[in-house]
Amino acid sequence: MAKAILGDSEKWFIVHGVQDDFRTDGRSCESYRHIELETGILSNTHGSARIRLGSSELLVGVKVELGTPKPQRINEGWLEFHVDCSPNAHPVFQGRGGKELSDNICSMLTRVYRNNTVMDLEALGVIPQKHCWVVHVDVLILECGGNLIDAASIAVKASLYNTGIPNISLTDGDEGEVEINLPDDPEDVKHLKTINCPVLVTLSKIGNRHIVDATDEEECCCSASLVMGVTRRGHTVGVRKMGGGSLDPESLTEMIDSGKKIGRQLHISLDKLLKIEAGMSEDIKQTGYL
Amino acid sequence: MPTDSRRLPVPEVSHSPELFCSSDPTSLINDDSLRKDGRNPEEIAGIFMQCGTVSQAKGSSFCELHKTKVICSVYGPKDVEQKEDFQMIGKLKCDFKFAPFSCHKRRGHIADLEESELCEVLTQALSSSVCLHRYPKSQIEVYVIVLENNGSALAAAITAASLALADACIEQYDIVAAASVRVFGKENFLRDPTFHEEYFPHQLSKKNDFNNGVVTVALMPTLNQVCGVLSEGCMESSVLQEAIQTCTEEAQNLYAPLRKCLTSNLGDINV
Repeated sequence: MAKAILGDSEKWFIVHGVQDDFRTDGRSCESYRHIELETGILSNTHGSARIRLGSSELLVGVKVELGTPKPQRINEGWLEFHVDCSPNAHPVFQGRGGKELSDNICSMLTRVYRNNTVMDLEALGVIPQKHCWVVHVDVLILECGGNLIDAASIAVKASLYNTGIPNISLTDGDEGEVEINLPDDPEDVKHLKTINCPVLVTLSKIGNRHIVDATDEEECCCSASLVMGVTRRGHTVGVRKMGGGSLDPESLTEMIDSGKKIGRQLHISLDKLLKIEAGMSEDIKQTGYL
Repeated sequence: MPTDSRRLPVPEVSHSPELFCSSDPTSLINDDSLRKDGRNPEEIAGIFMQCGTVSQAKGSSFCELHKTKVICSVYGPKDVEQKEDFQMIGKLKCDFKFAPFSCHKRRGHIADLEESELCEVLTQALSSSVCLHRYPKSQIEVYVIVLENNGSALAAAITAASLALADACIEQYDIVAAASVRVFGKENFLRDPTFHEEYFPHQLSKKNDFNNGVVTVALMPTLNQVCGVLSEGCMESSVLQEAIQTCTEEAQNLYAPLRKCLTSNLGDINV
């Protein structure tokens, strides 16, 4: 995992600042950095999103494919997550260097999307037992500026909101087999219901207080952090403690309450932004990727 | 997960016959408010712990929590494998594996994503208690294998690993005890869930899936510090906090048997 190298006095400066609710960039303990989000930028995908959270940049592409349903759930499709750390972000990610980080993010995303309330998987079924839609969500980390888990979850929700699954029609073919026909119009798509999709909130413990959206330097000073998946209504969908330090049971309770409040606020802003972006007219000229 | 085809000439895709049976819709608690194995919801499972099971290892332990059996071996402190990893703080390397025959569904030989996630949680829980600054330039290897999984495998693994580290005379701030709880509904907590009581989203319909899940907590009892939390399932935050509280209490109660196991092991040594 690429970590910033800090001297002892720099660490003390950050720790003391956090005690006074004042971080190095002037934020309070519970505020996020400036987030830039854009969806529908990659033409070869069914849905995509790009997020820039402070100095972290991620790109998410969603591609849907037809696959065979799992034996326990013959009417439903499923989601597959994959996270890739590009060597662009840090040279240590070359080859298998970024495996630990990408496994952590991937397993956390899989964990929060694994229950039934989050996504309507029956909408992804096509023909029971034979065909279903498999949604491949691929996250690419382009720049590491701290708090990659939260950024990944926001971008995943935005890209799933943006995903359009082709409206296929089924006709009877020869030999009793059903034929699947794709529509001619590429705009003939149905969208997924992402209203219950969760967002991951990472709360890092520094000294006696906890902060949200830690930068690279702040992540160095934190002994333990709690990652929780929060839905729009404030329900927790999956919790995991990360890091080699320990937490007090009382501060654990405080962190869960904080995470719930912050998660709800994040959902409100994100849903508003996605609605505005979806409503924006197609005539706005896109002047390139960056 | 692609299987290692060079090792085993097995078919690419094969399914367990149990998948084709209709799923058992019986509820977790029957009319006498007893669970399937006859326990009360608050009743914890019987636990058996023994140190020194693997004679070749520096330290080892065997833990059995109802039918879940876990063996852990500790090797080290030894030299770090790659010479570039020169650090003043020791390294803790854990390996967590389910034996292929341990679960209901056969597991592969190569660790999949779930096993590597549980391995990470185990490593992080143990890192808070091991005094790694006392072992510079060294690494301590902890190998955990689950021989039979009948629920609460992670909790049993963390407890067994901490016990094995104590048996290997590795310095720790405190022993780590872990416990898990199954949540179903707002008020119902099942302590030490068996495999059938664990949370499987595919067995539940969408309407019943709220406030359903499994929470595992690892705790250092005398210091009262939580070193690991893992939860799954959609729950209200108050229900989650209560479940964590229940797990913490149960882990505290594990301290006395753990201490007894370690001291009885010392009694066997002829001085």
